[in-house]
Amino acid sequence: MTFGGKVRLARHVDPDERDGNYVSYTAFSLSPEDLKAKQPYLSVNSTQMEPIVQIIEIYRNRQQGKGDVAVSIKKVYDYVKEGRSAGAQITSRRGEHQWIFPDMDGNAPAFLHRPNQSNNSHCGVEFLRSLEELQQRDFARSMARHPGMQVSPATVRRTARRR
Amino acid sequence: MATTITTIHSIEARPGVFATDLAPRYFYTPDPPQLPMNVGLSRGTTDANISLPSQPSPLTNVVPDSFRANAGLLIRSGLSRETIARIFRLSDKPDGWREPGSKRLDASSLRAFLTFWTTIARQAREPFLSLAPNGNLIAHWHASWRRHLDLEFDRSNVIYFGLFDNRDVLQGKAVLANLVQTLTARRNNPFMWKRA
Repeated sequence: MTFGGKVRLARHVDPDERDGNYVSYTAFSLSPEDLKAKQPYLSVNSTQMEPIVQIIEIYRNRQQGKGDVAVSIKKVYDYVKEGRSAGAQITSRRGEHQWIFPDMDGNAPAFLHRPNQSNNSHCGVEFLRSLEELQQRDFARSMARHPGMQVSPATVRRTARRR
Repeated sequence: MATTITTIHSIEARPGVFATDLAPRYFYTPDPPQLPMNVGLSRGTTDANISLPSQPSPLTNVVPDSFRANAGLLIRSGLSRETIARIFRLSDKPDGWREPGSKRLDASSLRAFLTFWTTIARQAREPFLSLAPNGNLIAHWHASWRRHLDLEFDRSNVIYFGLFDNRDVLQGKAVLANLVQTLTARRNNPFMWKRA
């Protein structure tokens, strides 16, 4: 699994985190449980590994089928750019399509494939753990300002065609 | 990106006069979810929005804790019915609402927002409210993609803020008094921003 700059990453936006086309920055925030973990990361799904339609279905299940499903789709490069702006030291390994950042135990991948039983395309944005509390909020705000949001309606509306 | 950290001073907590378990009985509750069919909404009603139950009503059991704890402040806040309904909805979200570990609305965060609102209400439009995974309440004022203000009310009475006013970007944390003074003194008051 590679994370070239053009690979697209999807992040679920909770219905209560958006106001029309605007997205609250909390859609890109780590939860307290994430922060307690040994290696906190932001959960995303790679559209390279799974079609967006299937990823939306995963999110629809998370919402228990209620309401529209909103997904923020951004490129790896967007995450890198905003991460750097917030203060993360992310560098690329040429030719390997890999991004690294200085972690506790030396350099670590900035993005990691973390599949689980129900979610094969699950990945982690790892470099967030190198940011301080305020920097994490700066990053989340930058991401939310241009969320690249796609909304999948709760029900597919069928329009009758007039002859 | 510029990050501003304003000096933090402690601010006095102001417990609500009616912040007791009695308050919900005298307070309009927007759309309580799944109320049992045999429970009357009001007994001895004297006004469309005020009920005076003679006994504790099961209705109080469906009012989320953070909402009930701040009933007194909510009464006096002057917030619109829509915003109060929104607060009720956010208060009603359980632990783990977003991902495992995300927390329900913290009562002290809601109190901090309501305290803030009472100081700013005359010179502000009502914001869009959302909930953070850590249980904090966040208020947003959007004018456009380039002009936006958000305030996150932490339980420790610190407010995390982000202001984007075209090229002018301010982010950091502050206490209520300092922040209100700084933001209302701006040439265009961001608390009055609304979507075009």
